Amino acid sequence: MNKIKYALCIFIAATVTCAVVFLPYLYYSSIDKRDINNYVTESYSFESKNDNITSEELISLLSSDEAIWLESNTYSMYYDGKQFNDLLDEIDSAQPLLKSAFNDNELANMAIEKFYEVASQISAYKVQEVTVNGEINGSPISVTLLDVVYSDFSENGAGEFEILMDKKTKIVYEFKCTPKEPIVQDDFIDEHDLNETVEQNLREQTCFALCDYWGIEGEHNYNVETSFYSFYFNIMPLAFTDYEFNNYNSIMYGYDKTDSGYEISEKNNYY
Amino acid sequence: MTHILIVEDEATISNLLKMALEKHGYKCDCAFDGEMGADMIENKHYDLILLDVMLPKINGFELIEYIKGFDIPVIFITAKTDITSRVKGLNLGADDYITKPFDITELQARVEAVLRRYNKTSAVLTVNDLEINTNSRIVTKNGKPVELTLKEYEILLLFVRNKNIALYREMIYENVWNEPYMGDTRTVDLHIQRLRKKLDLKDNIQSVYKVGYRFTE
Amino acid sequence: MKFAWKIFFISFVIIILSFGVGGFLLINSVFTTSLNNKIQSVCDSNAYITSSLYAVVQNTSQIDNNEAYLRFTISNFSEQVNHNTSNTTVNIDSVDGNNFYDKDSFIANLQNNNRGHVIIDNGNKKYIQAVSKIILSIGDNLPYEELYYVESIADITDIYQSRDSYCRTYQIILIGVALFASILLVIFSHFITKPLVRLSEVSKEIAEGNFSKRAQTHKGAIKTKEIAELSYNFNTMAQYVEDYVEQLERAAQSRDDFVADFTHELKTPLTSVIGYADMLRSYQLDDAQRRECADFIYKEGKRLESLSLNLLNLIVLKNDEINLVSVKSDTIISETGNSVLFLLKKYNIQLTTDFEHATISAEPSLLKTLLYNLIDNACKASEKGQTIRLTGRIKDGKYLFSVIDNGTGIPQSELKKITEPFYMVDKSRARSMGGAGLGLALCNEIAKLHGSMLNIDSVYNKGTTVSFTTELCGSEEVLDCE
Repeated sequence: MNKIKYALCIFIAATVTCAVVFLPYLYYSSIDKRDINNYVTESYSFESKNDNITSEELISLLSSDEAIWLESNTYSMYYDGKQFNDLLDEIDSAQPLLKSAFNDNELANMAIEKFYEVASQISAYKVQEVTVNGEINGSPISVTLLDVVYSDFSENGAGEFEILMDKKTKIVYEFKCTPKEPIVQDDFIDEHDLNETVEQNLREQTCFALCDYWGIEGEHNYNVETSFYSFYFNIMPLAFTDYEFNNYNSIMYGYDKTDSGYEISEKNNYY
Repeated sequence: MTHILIVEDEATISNLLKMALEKHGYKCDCAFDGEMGADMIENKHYDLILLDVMLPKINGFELIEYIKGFDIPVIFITAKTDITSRVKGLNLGADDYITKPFDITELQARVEAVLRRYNKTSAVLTVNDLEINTNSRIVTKNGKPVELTLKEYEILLLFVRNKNIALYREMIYENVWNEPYMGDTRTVDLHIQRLRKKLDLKDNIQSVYKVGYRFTE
Repeated sequence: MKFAWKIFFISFVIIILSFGVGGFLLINSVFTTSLNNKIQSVCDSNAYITSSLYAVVQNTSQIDNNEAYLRFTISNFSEQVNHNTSNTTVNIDSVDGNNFYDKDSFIANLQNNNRGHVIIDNGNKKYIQAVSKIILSIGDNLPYEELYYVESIADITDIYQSRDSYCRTYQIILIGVALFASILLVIFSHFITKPLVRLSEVSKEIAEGNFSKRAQTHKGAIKTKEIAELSYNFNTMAQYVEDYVEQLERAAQSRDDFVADFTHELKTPLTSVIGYADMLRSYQLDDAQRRECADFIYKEGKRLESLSLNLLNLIVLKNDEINLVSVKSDTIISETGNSVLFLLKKYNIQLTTDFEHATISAEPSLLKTLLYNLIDNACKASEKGQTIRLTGRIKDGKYLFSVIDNGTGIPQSELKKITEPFYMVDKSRARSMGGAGLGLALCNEIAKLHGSMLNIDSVYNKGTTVSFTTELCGSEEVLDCE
């Protein structure tokens, strides 16, 4: 009788062990069959919300990593043409807001002035209409921004200038001013010894100003580079960086004077 | 003459045994302790020893070892009825073992049985003109054999061995028929009547009123 | 089944189950979370992309009634999207094209403005496929709209592979745990139950009659309080059992002894009575002999009488309670003196008394019987012409009676036993005087009833003093006396 009891117990113990050891295997064999090829469907709908987008929503879209930046229209615009002047006006319309944003930032102001000074003298631009597409609160959003680029570091070139702005709100989201000479005057350089603290202060000033200008909190990702030789800021979402990276080949700079007239020269620029 | 030694420390019993056995024609001596008994055995020849177990000085079981050397038959008499003692006694070489209280007739019968075994008694019993050969079981009167039934023979033997003693009917019945006596039965009387006739013992076998019979020589 | 094995099996099963189920639940939870997170992320991404696509189409003016431009835009969009998302492939295709992997026509059966997802298993790899069906409007000319599928496919093989590899590890670990646990549990369970096993062995031995066996309380590695306590209590119990058994055995023994002694004492006088009477009736005796027989019968009969009376008294006393009254010591002593006159004359002994006056608590007739017996013994022990003393003293708050003689005395070795029923130091002498050894036993009982015991001091061949006490009835102890 006892032997039977022992055998039974050993059997039970062995069975339990086996059951537990093979439990996952057995469980998953049946579960997987159930889950795989099991369709789940749902309906959705959305409304367009292009017209009434608040600045917070715009900022969140622009700084979102998921937004898809597409170039919708690329063309070059060069000197002489009504459209060129329209373009310049367009660019110019951003200046007041910029200026007021950086009003107590000497360097910024100088950079902005420099930018617009050069802008009017530049002969050719690459113009892109960039759409930023995404979703806000379940509604599809597509915003078109104007991207104007000039880049020429050759003998005749003026440097690199870029402005990315919203045509409606006139707010600039990327601003690059890198002329061939320094932005600031000599006497300014003499007055302000360029050292780390000065640069740090300048940078901080610019950051604060940007935050107000764009209406964002300090933690947003954005890029600021300030020095006597260049002034640059960018709202810098990952999506935009990716987009830029993939669209290198459409940077154009300057035009060449040839016998038949002015010709656009396209050169790849890696910076 | 058969000499019997009685080794018993209780004076009354010792005396009882002496009286009873002397009535049967044996010569008896009494010893009151083991040491005394040993001395007496050494100094005188005995044909049988009646030995009590609970004795002062040397007890019965010890004494019997000593007696063995003399080749004398021993009957234990004792109050110790337990089987271990009886077996021990017999194993030690006693010829019989009788417990107290005992019936003196029974005792006498056993004594005689033991003596017979040791051939201390003759096989032939003689009474007047009767001769009873206990070996061949032939009874002769005046030299002529008489035909007796088994029961009659046993009754005759009982009488001859217990001469002059009143034998109760129960006693006769129990001894010869080996059954308990149930009371009103005339069997014993019938047998004795026939015995009387066959052996012409009218004068010898006397009836004792309300008791039984007595055999006189 | 052995206790150790019971513990082993139960613990083993519990451990294995806990481990196994716990481990499995953990693995499953990790798996389901990762899977669901992935599914959610893919679906969310798909939804976002779908919205974006819708937005871009809406916003691109060039699409207006230009199917080709729509497709161009879509392809651009699709290219950009795929750059953005590294491990998910996004395909956007028109419904008519429909070159998606479509098991069970799940995609084909999607309603407009519906999206769905499914897990695909193509043998080696597993994927999540999330598809949204979207209506893109082209313009006011025909065709007004185009139906498109936006499909996101993400490779989730790694999630399943992780899971399976965890499962394999789990299985190996579990088997290891099972082996390891079995070995440890076997050792542990036997170790823990060893004291109990030993205790059980000891109790078995005791049950077989070896009452002196005891459990160990000192050794043993598992010094658990409960087991140590158990062993200790067990030993106490065993000791009690042993003592009790001993007591019972002694009681039984003494009872057997009593009965044996009694029967023995009975047999002798009976044998005499029967034997002599038989002689009287059967044998022919002369007058002297007949008188002798009758004399013996009478004597032995008397002996039987005294024996049975004494015995009866003994039994009665043992079971009875007596009424103690207050009585003067003078009364007792003088009345006892009177009752023994005959004895003294018979044995030719002198009796002197020397006592203090006091009032004692006693049962008068029993007390006198006691003293009578003691004096009787003293007479029997003494020789003719000797003196016996009967004294009474107040000592330690009690009244001490003593009977002192200068007779044979009692050897030291016998002193303890003489109050036992039927015990006789010198059998022949005692019997010859008609005694059966009950006298002192009786006296002892009487003494016990008076709250004391017989105290016997004796030197062999010099003399004996027997004493006992009774309670005093002073003015303070009015309650005890009547």
